[in-house]
Amino acid sequence: MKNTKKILASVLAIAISMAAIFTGCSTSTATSSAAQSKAEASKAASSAAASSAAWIKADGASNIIVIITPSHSNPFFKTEADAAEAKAKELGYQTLVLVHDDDPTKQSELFDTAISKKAAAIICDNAGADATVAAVKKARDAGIPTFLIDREINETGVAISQIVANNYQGAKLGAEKFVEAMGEKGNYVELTGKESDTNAGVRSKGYHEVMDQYPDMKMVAQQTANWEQTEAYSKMESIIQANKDIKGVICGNDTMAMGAAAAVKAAGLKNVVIVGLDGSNDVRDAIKAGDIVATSMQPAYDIAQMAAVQADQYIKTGKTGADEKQLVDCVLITKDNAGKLNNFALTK
Amino acid sequence: MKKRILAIVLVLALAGAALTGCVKVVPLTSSSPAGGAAEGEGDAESYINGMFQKEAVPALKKKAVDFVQLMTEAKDDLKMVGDKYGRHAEASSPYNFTVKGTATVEEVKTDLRAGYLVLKVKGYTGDAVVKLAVGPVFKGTSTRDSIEAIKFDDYKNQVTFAALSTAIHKNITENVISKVKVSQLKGKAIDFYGTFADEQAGEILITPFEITVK
Repeated sequence: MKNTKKILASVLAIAISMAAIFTGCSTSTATSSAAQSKAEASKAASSAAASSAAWIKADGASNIIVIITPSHSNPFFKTEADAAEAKAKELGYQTLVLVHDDDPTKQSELFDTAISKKAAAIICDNAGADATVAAVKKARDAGIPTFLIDREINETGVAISQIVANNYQGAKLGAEKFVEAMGEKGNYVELTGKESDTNAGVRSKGYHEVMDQYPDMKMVAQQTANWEQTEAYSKMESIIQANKDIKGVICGNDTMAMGAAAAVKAAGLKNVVIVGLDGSNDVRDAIKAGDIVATSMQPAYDIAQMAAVQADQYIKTGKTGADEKQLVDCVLITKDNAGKLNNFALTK
Repeated sequence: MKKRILAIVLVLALAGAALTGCVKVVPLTSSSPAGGAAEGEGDAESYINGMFQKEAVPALKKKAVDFVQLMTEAKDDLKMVGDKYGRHAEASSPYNFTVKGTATVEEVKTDLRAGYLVLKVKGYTGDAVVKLAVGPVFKGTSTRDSIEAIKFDDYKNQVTFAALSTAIHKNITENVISKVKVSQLKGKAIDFYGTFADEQAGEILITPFEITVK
């Protein structure tokens, strides 16, 4: 009798510890189990009604538009949030502005927040083209339409609008200027963005579609600086030490271009062609000063306001009047037009 | 007895593992910085090679407006005639125009890889410099953006959408540019069909889809 008890106890203990170990192993997109079961419950409740007409508004929807973006430490995302908020308020909505810090799990929790507040709509610059699909779907199932800005997701028919900056076109514009400024030849460095961000790959691809057509342009180093200015600086420092004859640095975004420009200056290198992407005020000023050659402006302000307008249209009429996927072009910024650029918008 | 216990424990452990499905699958991102497989390129080329010459070019030729007529009506601002003759995806995007004309080739500029001909278009008296792109590098996406059948909404993401333009330029290089002796064109008269985007004031860069040397 004693023996069986002991055996049972140890088997139980092992089983429990095994379960504990294994359930700890969740994928990065899993929500906490409490939120998950809650979401599943509400999904089950509304899925019957939602299955045939997926866009039924939640009962007692509030007047709140929830705006979710990456961290505002990057002025691009702050501009988006400010622009969307301003337009939403102008159109008579209350707003809730949140940041997901490029973490799909956190983003999913923020979508839950919007659902719990019965938001009228969600405007989101998302944390991952594949990871975000589930979040948008659960909002849809709760009757909340999502309007995506800046970054697209790899599925249609879930969000109402995807107002996307044409990163690829912007990258090609920047690369064409880069190649021209380098006289179509020379050694260059590429600093790429955060790998988990789809746009890092999109921009690099756009750059290479142009640059790889020039056999006399030689890439001597390619490293990620994760969109960060200080990381770009330290990466460039090491790269410069290993490669003396660098004629250009092409960067996935403006903050990295600022870091690269500072490193080049500190090393005393002259006439190095530097190109970024985004259209920030910092790079605008660097272009005016001659430290950076060009950037491509993403129309962050316009895109965010378009989303608010389309959300309002959809809430009132059930339609936006536009295609789901809308591709908004970037504009090349050089010394010629830098004076017209402010907060990711060009004055006429 | 001990063996039995071990067996039970093992079964429980295995069952536990199977039930929780604890296998972490790292999703392949659709675009990895440099070195990633060409997303959608194979599909874009077969699609474009199947439809560009047979369907797109005839449709573009049909809607092409005479270059001089377009510029005369536009006076100084092509945006004024954008809705009438042009096509653009978004309100903020530049208009793309499909044009035809006759011109004399004043210069052949192929020292840079984005090569072009400088044209003196017959009947055009405006100030804009008119260029006809001859590659091997083609700038912009005006041809893709002029084709009515092609909409971004139908494509997975901007990378697959961009691949269309690359495929179109390749098709143009093979079917249009290679049929003319570019280096010998200076001073010659040509008929052309092409597209351009109203992007840069004072310069019109036309990507041709037909060139006839007279």
